[in-house]
Amino acid sequence: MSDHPDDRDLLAGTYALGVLDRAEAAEVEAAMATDPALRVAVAAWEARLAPLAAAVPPVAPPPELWSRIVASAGLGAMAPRETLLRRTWRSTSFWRATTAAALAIAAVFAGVAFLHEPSPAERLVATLGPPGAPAAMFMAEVQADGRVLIRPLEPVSPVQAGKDLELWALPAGATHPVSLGVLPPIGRNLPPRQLLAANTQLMISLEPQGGSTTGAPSGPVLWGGRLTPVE
Amino acid sequence: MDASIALRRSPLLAPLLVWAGGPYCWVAATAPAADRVHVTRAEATLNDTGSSRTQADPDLATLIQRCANQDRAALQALYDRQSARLYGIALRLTRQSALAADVVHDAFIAIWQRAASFDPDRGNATSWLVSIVRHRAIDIIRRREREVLTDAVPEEIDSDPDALARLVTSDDAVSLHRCLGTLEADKRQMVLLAFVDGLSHSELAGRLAIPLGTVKSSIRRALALLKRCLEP
Repeated sequence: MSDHPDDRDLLAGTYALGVLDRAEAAEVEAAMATDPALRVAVAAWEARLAPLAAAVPPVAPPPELWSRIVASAGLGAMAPRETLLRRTWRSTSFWRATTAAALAIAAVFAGVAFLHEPSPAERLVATLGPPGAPAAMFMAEVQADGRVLIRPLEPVSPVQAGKDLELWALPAGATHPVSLGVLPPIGRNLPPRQLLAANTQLMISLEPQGGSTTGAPSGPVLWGGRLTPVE
Repeated sequence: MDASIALRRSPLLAPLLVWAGGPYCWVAATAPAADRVHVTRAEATLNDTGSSRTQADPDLATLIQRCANQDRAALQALYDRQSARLYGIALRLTRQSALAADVVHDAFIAIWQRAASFDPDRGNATSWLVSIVRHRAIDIIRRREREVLTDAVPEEIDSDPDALARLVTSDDAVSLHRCLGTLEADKRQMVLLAFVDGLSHSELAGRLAIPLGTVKSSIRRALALLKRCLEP
């Protein structure tokens, strides 16, 4: 990426327009995480181009979509009536066996998983949130080839000098987390796939540069979440 | 055993235990149940688009800010007003109703979670909502590497008599429409195919049978011209 202001602005424009391929878009998103000026430029381009969306005719979404959203967001009381999903939601031992926090984090994407049988197209996702706040900071998604794609949902402040963020996986039933590597701003790692089953807990800790030297998280765990299948 | 048990055994993971008593109480929240009526809100949506930003967006912005305060009725109001517009955008990008529904689903979860990051001073509410949907949809279609280059070419937006006419409904849109009109036809078509149909540089090159480098330089040129034209 060039540092020339015009080039940066046009890069923001191509990102907002949506013509970049995935790798290029990921690069821009990574840069946005640490570059407030780029975020402003992207927002300005999005505002410039947004009126184009009016060229697309509105279409009524499927009627069940709202209840899916309600269920996934954990807004159960807004649903008009008791559904199978909500009964499952409340009764499964899965929930009793998880912490309240992991429950809420998983709830973000769990709704669909309960509605459908697992299918080959199923993917595993987790939203990683900070302790003490309901916001999700990262979305983790296990790719078909076993890599984990970590994408910031919010601009992430750069870590202090001499520190790195490290990603860990704690499979259900395991007692020791396994390092999946130090995160680049947009992390792609190649961990063994069997680690990354549903209910594996992912967490990101603040570590010395290059990662923990003890084989376990040595700094504070800043964000965490549980992998949940989504069709 | 379960991971949460394991965590309690591991002093290294003590910070995680903070979550156990954390603020995640949405599931237990209660509110009066109200039967929802699902109707096409095309007219309302278009009115939102149609009136100028100063009329429409304060309401949307207020709703988003109320979502940041965990106001579920605000999320529902946003859905009532915007879901048809956003679903239409997602459907056009993904071409599959199931994928479009996933996009809107994910987008509303993101809206709910990220509402606090919306800054009305830095961007208008409409573009914030549209951008969440578009980026999610584009991410999905790029991952699936759509096979649209050779088959089932959708109708050209330029040939849809209503499409560009719909643009002429707000001050911003009038300016954008005017500035699009100053572009050469091929550049205008590229911008529209990219924004509305989600074509990437390489997909544009394939669709229009133009070298990739030419597509990239044309897009940059088009964006630079649009920006200059739109500057106050």
